[in-house]
Amino acid sequence: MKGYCRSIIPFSSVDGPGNRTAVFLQGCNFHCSYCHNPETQPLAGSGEALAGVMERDHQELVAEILKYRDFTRGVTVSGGECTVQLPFLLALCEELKSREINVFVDTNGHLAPDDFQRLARHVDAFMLDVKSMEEDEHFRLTGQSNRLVLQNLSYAIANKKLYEIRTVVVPDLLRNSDTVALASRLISVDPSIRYKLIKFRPRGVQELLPTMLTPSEEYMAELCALASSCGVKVCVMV
Amino acid sequence: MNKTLSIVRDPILTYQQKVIALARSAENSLEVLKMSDEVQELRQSGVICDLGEGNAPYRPRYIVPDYALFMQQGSEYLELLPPENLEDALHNLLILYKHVPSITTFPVYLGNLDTLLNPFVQDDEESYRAIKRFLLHIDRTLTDSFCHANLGPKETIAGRQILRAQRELQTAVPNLTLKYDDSTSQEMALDAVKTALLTAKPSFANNVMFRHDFHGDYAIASCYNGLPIGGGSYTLVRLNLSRLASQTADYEVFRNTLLPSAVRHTLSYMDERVRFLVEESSFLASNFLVKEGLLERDKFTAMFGVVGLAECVNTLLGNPLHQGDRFGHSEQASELGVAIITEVARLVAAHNNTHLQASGGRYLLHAQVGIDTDIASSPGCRIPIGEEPELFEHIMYGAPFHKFFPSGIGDVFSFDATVKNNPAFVLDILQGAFKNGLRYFSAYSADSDVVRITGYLVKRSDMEALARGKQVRNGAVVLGKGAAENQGVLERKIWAREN
Repeated sequence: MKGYCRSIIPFSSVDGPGNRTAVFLQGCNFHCSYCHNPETQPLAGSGEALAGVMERDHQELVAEILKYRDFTRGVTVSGGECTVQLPFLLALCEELKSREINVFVDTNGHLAPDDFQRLARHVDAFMLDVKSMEEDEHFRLTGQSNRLVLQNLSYAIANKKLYEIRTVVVPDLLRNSDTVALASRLISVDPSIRYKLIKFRPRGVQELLPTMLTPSEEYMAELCALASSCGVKVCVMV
Repeated sequence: MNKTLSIVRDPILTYQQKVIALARSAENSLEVLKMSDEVQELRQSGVICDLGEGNAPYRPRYIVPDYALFMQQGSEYLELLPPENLEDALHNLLILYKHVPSITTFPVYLGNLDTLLNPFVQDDEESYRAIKRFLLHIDRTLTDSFCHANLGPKETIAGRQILRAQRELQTAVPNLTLKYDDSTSQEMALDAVKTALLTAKPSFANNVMFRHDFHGDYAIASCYNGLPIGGGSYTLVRLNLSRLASQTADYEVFRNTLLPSAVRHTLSYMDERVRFLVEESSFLASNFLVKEGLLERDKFTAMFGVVGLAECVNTLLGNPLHQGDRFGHSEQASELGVAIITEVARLVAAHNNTHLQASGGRYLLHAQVGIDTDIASSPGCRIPIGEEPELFEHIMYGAPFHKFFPSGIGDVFSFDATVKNNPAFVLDILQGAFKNGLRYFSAYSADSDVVRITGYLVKRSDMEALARGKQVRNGAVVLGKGAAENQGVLERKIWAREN
């Protein structure tokens, strides 16, 4: 099956535990105002944004991934938003699992629960974005409701399929502490789930004012402490 | 100015460095080694280089005492009884180190420290503090980066304490290697990677590969030299393949005429150095290390070094401008490189020297890491700095060379500081590298003060101090500074930076 691929990083240190081959698929169904990679949003069409996109066969992609196998502890499929190409993603994950390769999927969780659960059968763990726990705020930020995200989040927690959740911290735009507190309580039932708090950085961002500030170390540390106080065992700041 | 007087007047050399330089100067006033005109010419042109080993060898270049035996029996010469507790053990070792000679005048091998010390340590702060002081003592008195201690392969309390102390001390000395195999616990391995990302050590030796080549135990000494324990290497002389290739652009001439001749002359020069050392210098007849069995004649070998393969191959390919056609990228260059090293290995293995008892009369191949003054010759079989391919390709390109070099070859990788958050990333890469035939792997973080120059460690802050005209304790700092200036060793590609 063919899919649209933005890039492959053979050795990635930031897409899950250890060394992982990271595959970035093209296309996204969110339009976050702080997006650093807006060129990954359109799935098809033409223009500059699609200049680097490769059409790849899932088996051919797996053959490339297998080259790196001795050096990695798995694969992380990311995006864009990789679930936008669900049939391709399913085929890719199924093929990887048939080769006994550990598979993580990095997703915004915005897909029908049935589809998410079907995908989960071929995935070892998800890395899931919790951009905002509050529906209106989520809508203003991404253009979509967070209803599906939260349903899928609950499923992933209950089924031990969640490696980490991530929130981008933008002090001038979001009520970050509300999201951190609520999300932390949700994941606290499983101490192995990490919370990664990502500092907003204005570089490469198109929509937000460049004057919007990156959060201070102190503020990030406060949020991390908040996560801990809500039961999170591992909180990482980047 | 007279050489001796210039050493005496030098304001930057420390007292100890002056004494060593004066001894070298005196040794080099002699001309006792017999060599042919061809050897003289090849030395003059830099094709053969004895790496400052001196004109009258009076001690083996690399001495690898059997410290385990020393722990069992103490020393009559040093009037030391076997240790009964940690304090005894640490002091005995520190005393012995001051009596172990080598090319640098400091010991190039300090023992498999964790297995030596583990019988005496407790898992407590008292043991830890004693070990930390011991390591500090080593750094402050054995002021030379080629002092090398080993750890592993199994996890021990002492091993964990040594790693912790290195993270806290962040010293350049001792150099450190973890012998790594499946018996090394993941906790110990991750602890070692964490330590390497803070202070550029330990490096990792492929224990399975080394044990196979040495038929059992071995030591990693000096930079990354695999050597038999209880002996060592009489000499190390290197053949500069880059210099040799500069004499022709024709591969057939290189392979059929120049290379066999240069190898033959290098071997004859090495034979003469070994002969003088074994037969004329009194070392083996008189030194207490030999008399007490810590060194034995039948555990000595010697090392045939090669350097500058990358530039050699590029020259023979007509110095292609396009990077894809050069060593480090092109398949043709790789095949040519392997063919050259295979031929060197064949020629060296065909030569016999009965003094090299530990290796059946054969010299062991060593991928020499270069010297501070080298220009346009990369270490051993390494890809030149500035031309590195992606990390996976880099490792796979280098791996086929490693099996040829039991007495040392390795690659050094600089990682972005963010990798400290994920030390398993480096461990996974190292495991993959070993699965694919890499012999020795070094990693450090780009923001570390202690950096791996080629095979040895130096502090950036010491190099900066030396550049400002200050005296620095560690005699290897001047070598690191030269290598930084001439070979760009601080400009290595930084991996995982895109993240």
